[in-house]
Amino acid sequence: MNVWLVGATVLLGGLVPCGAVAARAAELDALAALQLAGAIVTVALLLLAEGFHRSAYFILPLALPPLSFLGTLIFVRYFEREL
Amino acid sequence: MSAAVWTLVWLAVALELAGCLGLLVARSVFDRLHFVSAVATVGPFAVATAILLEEGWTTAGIDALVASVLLLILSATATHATARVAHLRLHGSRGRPRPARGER
Repeated sequence: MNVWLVGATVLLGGLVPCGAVAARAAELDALAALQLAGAIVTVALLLLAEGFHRSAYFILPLALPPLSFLGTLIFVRYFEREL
Repeated sequence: MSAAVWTLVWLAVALELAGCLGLLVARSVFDRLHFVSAVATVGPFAVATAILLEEGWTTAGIDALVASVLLLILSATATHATARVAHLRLHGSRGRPRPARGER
């Protein structure tokens, strides 16, 4: 294991607080936790792609931010309609 | 691997984990969104810089930089949209507290 893979493994531990907030807090707080989880996973995917030395794996961290953004906007739209 | 790359990777990991702990201990949604913004700006650029130092201006380095820029722009926009809905829920559309359901 190199420093990239160890860093990605440690970083994925950050998903635990995000999951705790998403499960227990109010819905907008849970949405903030979901956004944070998207950012964490993007960085972890960057570290994993570099750790495995496969340039094809860099497609995943490129695709995740737009998809996470779209998911957040759908939730925001849904919450806005409730107002 | 240079010491700069090692430092940047662990700096990014530490900052991201600090943001996660901040999300856990923050009380209001606005405080939590503040930590989301911090995580989406500093950490990805530290990792992208580390990859650029390691690989140079190759496909991997440029992809990492583009992913960081995407995360910076899109996460800031999503955070703004979430904060706007939270503000509307708290204060209504004109800055006044929203009346209770059924109340004029």
